[in-house]
Amino acid sequence: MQVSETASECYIEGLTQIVPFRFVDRVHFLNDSRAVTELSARAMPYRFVAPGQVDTYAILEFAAQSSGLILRGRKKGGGRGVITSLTGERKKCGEIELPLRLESRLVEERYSLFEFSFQVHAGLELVFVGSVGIFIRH
Amino acid sequence: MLDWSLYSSVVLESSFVTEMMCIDLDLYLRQTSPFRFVDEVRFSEEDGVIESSRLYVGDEGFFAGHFPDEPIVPGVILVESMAQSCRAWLNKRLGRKAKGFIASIERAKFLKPVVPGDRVFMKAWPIDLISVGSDSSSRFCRFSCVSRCGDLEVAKANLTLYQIITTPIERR
Repeated sequence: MQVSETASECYIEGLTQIVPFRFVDRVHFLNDSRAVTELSARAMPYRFVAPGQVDTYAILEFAAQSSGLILRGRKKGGGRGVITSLTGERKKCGEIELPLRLESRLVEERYSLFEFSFQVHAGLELVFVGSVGIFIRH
Repeated sequence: MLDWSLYSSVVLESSFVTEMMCIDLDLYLRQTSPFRFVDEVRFSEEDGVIESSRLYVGDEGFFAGHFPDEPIVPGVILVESMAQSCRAWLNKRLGRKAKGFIASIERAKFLKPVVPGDRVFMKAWPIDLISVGSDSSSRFCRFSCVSRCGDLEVAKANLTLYQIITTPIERR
């Protein structure tokens, strides 16, 4: 469902990662299988990224944390998501600039292991695609 | 095929001293503290292997956020660390501190958490070097990478790096 700014802040506050290692600034859409999120320029110096450009590691963490939001209901009771696998392909050869918009979809679920497929846009341009596996550790 | 059982930290340090050539990271790596995640990088001309290490002492900035009550090195930092090791080798080969990025990550697996106090040893092998012609303005190289902590594998991945060269290369 579409997410208001207030609800977005609540979801982000619920992430186990905190500043300076938080890589989601806005949640636009969230349900149990899909998330649409945004990474903007706010507080980027604390994320070790040069202003105005984004490193691959930041995109991967953005994808992992956004995918983790989809699992929020399954983590109740103290579970924590850890990344078990990653794939990714950069689609843009030049520098990738903020803000970025990411869509992540749950594509597979086995016990406590979840596989997500994601794509990242900068404006209208597709800049990165990949997948991330997350294991919920209780 | 390398026998991983030989690579205890003692043997690895010994091989650093006797067989491996050191890469000057300030000369070949653009990333500096706090975004440098490799302490030393060495390579062997003979078998093409790249070895590096990184001690996570615990005061790294990301531990404050990942996670406040249970600090763990983020998996993406382990990937970046492996990429920086390979990038130093690639830049040395190119003869300059070229700008670049990770073009792709394949089959990255995270097998064990790395925590403050852990020293991670990385090994990488270049498996495809693409567009090496002297007239090319860019370089791709694909690497197979493994990170170990003690006797345990903690992460592995195949990484393709893209380094941008805008002027003719000065061979070293």
